[in-house]
Amino acid sequence: MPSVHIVGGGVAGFTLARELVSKGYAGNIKISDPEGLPYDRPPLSKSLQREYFVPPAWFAEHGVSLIEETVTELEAPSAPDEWVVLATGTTPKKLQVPGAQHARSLHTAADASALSAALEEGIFGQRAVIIGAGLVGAEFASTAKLLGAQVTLVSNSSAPLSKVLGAEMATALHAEHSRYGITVLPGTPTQLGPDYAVVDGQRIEAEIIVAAIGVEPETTLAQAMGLEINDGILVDEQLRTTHHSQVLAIGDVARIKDCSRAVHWEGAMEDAAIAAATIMGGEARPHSVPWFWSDRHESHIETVGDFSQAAQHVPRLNRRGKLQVLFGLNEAGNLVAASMIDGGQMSKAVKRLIARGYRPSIEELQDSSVGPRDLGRQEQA
Amino acid sequence: MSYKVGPADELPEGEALLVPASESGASEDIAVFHAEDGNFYALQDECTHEVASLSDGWIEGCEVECPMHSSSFDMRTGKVQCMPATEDARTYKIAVVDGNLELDI
Repeated sequence: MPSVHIVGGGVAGFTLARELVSKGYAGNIKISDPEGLPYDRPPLSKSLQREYFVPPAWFAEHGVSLIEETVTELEAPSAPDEWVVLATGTTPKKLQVPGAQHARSLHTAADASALSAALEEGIFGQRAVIIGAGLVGAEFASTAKLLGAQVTLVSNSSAPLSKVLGAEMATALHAEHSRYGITVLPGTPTQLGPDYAVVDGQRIEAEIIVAAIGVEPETTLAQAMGLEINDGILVDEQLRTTHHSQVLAIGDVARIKDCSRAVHWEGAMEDAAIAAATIMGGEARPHSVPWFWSDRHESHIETVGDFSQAAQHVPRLNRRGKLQVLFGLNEAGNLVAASMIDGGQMSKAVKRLIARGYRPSIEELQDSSVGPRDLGRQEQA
Repeated sequence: MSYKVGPADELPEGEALLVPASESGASEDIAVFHAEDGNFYALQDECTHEVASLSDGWIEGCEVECPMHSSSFDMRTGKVQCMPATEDARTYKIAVVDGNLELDI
């Protein structure tokens, strides 16, 4: 009997099951995940909510077995129609300071629900210290503030995520925190206790301590299986691991050889579609231009493309002089990236223009009266 | 019951408009699209995923992509094409009568 065993029920693993079902896969589909019913991760830091992809009945209805288990060992398939797909995602990095165990991560639904409960405890608002002001740290700071906490956000950078958002956008966004009543503290923690953090010699009392200093690929199982690992499980364009052609890796844990590891939600979904095509045959849409979003302080932030390719940044300001979009051009003048605040359709326009290799004029990028649908019109005409 | 939205030639191809429930008397806000196949379609305006207005979405061919998280829907059938949304959108009948858009609510 043909079978696909998916390890990990995040967006990559679940989407693969969904793709296989929708394509009429005639075999057993199994998802193993210690957390049970698959849910979507982005809402965790944005609203501390667990949002299931589908209700439990979906799995029975489509013959997908869902096993609540941690897989620590797995034999590579021997039959030609058996597949194993590793979608184990990432684990949060841990602080390397005395008392690090007092900090919680925000990575799972259990983390989100514990933090949500902790935030509700204090009558006058809990004190929260967040270490790290990347996407998760910034989003949780915003959420905790909204829920009435006194928030201190600790970062050793004045422009966290510069390389991802573009320096000017990173600076502008980081500066927003204090406007919303968050105490931004530059520095590095040297010690944590059950109800305090020491940052560069200063002791900060807090009921809630969160470490949001990034993640690393969860490769424990891959290691046990003897797969090749180097910042992720190495795979080819069809997402086959280098050691075994019927063992695939998808989502945040996978890295296509000679490329950087893709770490966003949409990329994980695209991986699932590619894996389904590898298993069942047929064509899959290749990876699109990278895109992700983040929500904080009433703003919807999006980044499209890759700022590491940008040699020149072009800011677009709104009428009040506030940064609205930051465009990135490569040395040849092609549009390669953009970050935006409440961009509406701009991200979709930019995505298509990047895919087309569009070379914009600096003027049309700067001109806020040139709307998303008007960008790139001149060249087309 | 039908509701007169307005002249069809005032909605260019590739664009959408919002028909608020308060104006049409329908049970919800409705998005009216002029798709790139030249036809008009109408769907529930609120994305089936989270609060976002599909009339602010990106139109390509006969699909509309939600402005928030890029779920896309086939305007002809309401079928969801791409996550995060997993539920289809409700469709409404729309016709051009004597140059005017008439929405069946």
